[in-house]
Amino acid sequence: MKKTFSIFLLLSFLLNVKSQVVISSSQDNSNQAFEASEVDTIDVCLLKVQYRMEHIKDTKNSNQKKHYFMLLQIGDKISKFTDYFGLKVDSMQFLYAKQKMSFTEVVNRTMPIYLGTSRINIYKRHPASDKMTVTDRIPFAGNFKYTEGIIKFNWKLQEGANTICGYKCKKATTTFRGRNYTVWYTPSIPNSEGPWKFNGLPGLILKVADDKNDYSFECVAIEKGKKNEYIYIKDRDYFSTSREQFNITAKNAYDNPSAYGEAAGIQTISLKTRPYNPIELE
Amino acid sequence: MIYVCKIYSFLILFLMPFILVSQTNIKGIVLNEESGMAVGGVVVRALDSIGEILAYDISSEEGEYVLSFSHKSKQIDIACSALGYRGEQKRILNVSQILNFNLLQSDIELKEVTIKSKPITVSEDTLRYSVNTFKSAGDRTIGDLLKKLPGIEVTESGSIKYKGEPINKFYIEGLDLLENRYGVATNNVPVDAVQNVEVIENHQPIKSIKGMVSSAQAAINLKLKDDKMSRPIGGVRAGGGYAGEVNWLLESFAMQASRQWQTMLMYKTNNSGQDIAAELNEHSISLKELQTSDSERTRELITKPSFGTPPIEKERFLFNNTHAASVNNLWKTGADSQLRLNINYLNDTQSENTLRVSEYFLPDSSLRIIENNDLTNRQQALDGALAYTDNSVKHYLENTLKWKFTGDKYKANTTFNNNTINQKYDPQNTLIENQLNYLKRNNEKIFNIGSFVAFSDQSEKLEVIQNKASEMQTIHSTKLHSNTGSYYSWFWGKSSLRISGSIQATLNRIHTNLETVLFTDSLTKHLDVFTLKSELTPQYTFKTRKAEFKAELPTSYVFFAAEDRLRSDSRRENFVLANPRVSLNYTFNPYLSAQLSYRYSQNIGSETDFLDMYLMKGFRSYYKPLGIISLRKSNAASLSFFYKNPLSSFFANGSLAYIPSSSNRTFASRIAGYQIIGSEQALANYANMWSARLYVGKYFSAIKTNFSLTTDINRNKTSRFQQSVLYPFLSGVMSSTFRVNTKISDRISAIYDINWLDINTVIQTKTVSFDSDFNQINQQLKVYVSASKKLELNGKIEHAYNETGKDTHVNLMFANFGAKYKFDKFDFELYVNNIFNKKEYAYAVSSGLDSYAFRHAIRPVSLATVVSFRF
Repeated sequence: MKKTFSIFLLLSFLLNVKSQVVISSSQDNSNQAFEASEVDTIDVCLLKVQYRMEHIKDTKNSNQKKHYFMLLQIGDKISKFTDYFGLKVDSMQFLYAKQKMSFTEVVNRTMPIYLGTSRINIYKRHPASDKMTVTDRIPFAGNFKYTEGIIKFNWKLQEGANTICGYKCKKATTTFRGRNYTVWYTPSIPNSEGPWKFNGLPGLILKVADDKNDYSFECVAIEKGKKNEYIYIKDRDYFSTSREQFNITAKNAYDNPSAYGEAAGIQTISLKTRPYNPIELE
Repeated sequence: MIYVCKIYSFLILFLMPFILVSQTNIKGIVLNEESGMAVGGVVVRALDSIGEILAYDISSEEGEYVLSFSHKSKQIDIACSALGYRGEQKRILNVSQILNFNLLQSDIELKEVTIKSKPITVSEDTLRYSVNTFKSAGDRTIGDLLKKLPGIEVTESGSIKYKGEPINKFYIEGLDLLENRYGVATNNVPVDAVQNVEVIENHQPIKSIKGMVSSAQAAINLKLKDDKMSRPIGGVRAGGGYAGEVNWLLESFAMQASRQWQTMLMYKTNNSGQDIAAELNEHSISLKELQTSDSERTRELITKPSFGTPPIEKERFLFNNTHAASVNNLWKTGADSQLRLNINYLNDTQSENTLRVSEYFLPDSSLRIIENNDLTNRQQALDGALAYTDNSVKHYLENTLKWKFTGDKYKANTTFNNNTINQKYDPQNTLIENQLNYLKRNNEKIFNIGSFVAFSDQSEKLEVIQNKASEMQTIHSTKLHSNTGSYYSWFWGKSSLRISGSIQATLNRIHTNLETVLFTDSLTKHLDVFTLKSELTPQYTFKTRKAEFKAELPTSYVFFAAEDRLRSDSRRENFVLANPRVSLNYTFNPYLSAQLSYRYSQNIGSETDFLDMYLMKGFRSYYKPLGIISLRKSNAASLSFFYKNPLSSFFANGSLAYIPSSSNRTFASRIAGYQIIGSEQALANYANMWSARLYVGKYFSAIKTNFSLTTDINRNKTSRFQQSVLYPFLSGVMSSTFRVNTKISDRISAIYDINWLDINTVIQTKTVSFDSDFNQINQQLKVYVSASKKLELNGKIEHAYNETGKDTHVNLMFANFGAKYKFDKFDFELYVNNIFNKKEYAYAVSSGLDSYAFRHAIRPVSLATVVSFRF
């Protein structure tokens, strides 16, 4: 027994001596190779406009605003409105996939960033020049995709001047799907794009807010697209639907999260229904 | 004249609209000068002399534009501009015409953007989040805020992940006060004390290898507001109430931080059924500890008189008096070195009163034993860490010494057959571990030496006093443990292969002594067991977009050397175990996916299997292991499916599993009087287990209500000896829950569920037919009312129908009410629990051939108020 014990002591010491240690490499439990979602490149990216989006989720608690950093990528023909950090995650995932990192590790690294992001993607002038594609995620329900026509906003150009990010802006107003919006656009950047579904003004839209301040978008940075920077759409399994059905499904999921949560194996602890204050009221 | 005037007036009226609002229509095509191709998306504007927009259009894909406007000036400007093209402006006569443009491509010119709001600033690899930007009215602690920052995730216990990876350091003003127990800070540091949260990405805490070995993990640093530095900050939550006795609750937290010295204190106490002991445990578990814990700690061998866990909320039956304190200090001892001391103390007294009716199946009849049991335990635990770190550019030295002492004092008074039996059980545990890490950098080479040694010492003593006679068992056990592992992966195409390996070595020394008149066997044992386990696991994965196939073959070699020092008898056992597993996941479409899996397992027991002597299980039960390592072989096959249609709000999922198994031993129990002697026989034992689960849910948006049904069925067919007769039996549990969840209005929502639990055992032989069946039907209605922005109300009614015997059952009704009012600095809470003042909870379960009915004393009606504020 003494001999065995000596061997044990020797082993326990030897096993802990290593000539080199990889500091902080997390040991994962799965060797499943991570594969980034397949993407279809649909345009080159000429300009990137970063917006700070604020959203009152619960109208009863208007002090609590949810913040997002959104990015509008403007291409030769197509534009994409997406979450800034969501896009970062995509590029991390492409890199990790190249590095052959394991699935578990990639999900562990990137999922929390997704948890804090908006999942909406709006591709204007895709799949056709008069159409736009919207993809979005409803918690526990899945990824959805719908197509609608490019919105022809009834813009009213107004008196008024403002400077946003160093650009002189002009004012315009419109009413769209139940909300009254005031927007600021700059003729100095000759593009008719804007955040979310907004478009059609004689200059880039830099700021949007509805009259209740439930939703607002304000430009915080503008930069040129890098060489070989592309606009892409993820090729994944979406539930294809219509805008109207998507909005009903989202409302149902917020009204009764347990219906969706239970099915996903999550026991609803709280009785509270999740407040739902969509941007489109009609 | 009048006639002429009339004609003239008519002409003026007729022509006026044409003179005043004559509309100009300008249309044309925009082309690329070089390629001659149409340019879409061009902003074309008609401008007046001062540059005001008269009309604008965006050119179509074909490059076409149309401008329509009315303006009196003779000349107007048409400006044509697009991203990536040089803008062009033409002055033309204000008449309808066709005007084409040829644009030259050019670079996009942008102004230097000054970012107005700076919610996040970036310098090198540090992200700095401004607390004021992200803070909301409801945020109390820094944890509330961290949850909102993009990329940061905070769990209930306060642990933090950045980009999915646990952070490697949590600093306050650049100093690491709490090491992995930083949950205390996350859940307590007031958000108002913090200026900025800094996230240092790829944080390499070891300076000497900075820039050489990168870290995937990040660190978080809290920068305090200037006026909060070097002065105490914290918060208090205090409350009181009455539930047959005076109840209290106090939670306090204070910290003071400077760049040279930091301290953090936490104290929590209550006797109102809040389980803070568990809260403290949770905080202390970090990922690193999880990987190494348990295996080096000893397991209790005597079955202690344990607390019951009735199927109701712990707060209803937990009678406690708990004090928990945490002291953390950090001193900077030099420019690169620091000393840290963390101490945690828990003093937790719990008590319960139960009436237990045990029924044992016997060949001709059954034995029924009724015991009334008063149990108390006082646990004291002191754990801590002393760590010295020297983190200079040349080398890194860290030595962490950790210790944990726990002592329990269980006292049970059992009334049984008009006798009172006293039991005392006093386990004492000591765990000491030391981790030394030294790292030296020599140009591009890194030398690291690490040593991890864990030692545990455990003593157990159970003393039973009955009719002035006493029985006693003592066990003393020490354990030394080491564990290390590594892995490597290859990837090609859609396949990957990983090979991982680990080696564990353990030395366990057990000394036990039993003083009883019941057995004639040897009652003393000195056992040494050395265990060496090496495992190699190749794992292959093939993954496509729709399917994923995984196959693995963990193969291990386990060597046991056991020596009975009293008998000078030694035994060695070797096992080569292979546990192949295969699984296939397939996603048919977004609506439907399925999984098929199979595994073959060989599970062996632990070193304590060598202990072939009687171990006490309370005051009237004993258990004797067979003395050889147990080996259980099983096959498990399962099939599951998941269907979801969120568009129609219909969800269903189900699974089916079949697990036949065999073991190299059969459990046997012998009942003599009221004594239960458990043992094992070296006979193969077979079990057939199957389980099924089905979930169906549908949401009806018209009535804002969700209906769901969950059913679980488990069946196990096996056999065991009772009174030397082998009884095959079938035991089963069926649980079915129907739930309705509805939103009555924006302010009121309710949830109702009813659960039916059926626990069943059937013994069927040629001579014996026996059936035991217990049903529990529990209903619960919870209502939540958001009365105003500041006031929240909630209520709960529960009803339980529990069968407690063949023809007996109980009906129990409980109700709770709670209210919370939020002021700016204070929260005020009011609770009334167990409104119907029920005194006990009763239920019954069956376990194999035996069944047990319990009556638990529960907390009476209680009223409590709690106020919390922060300074």
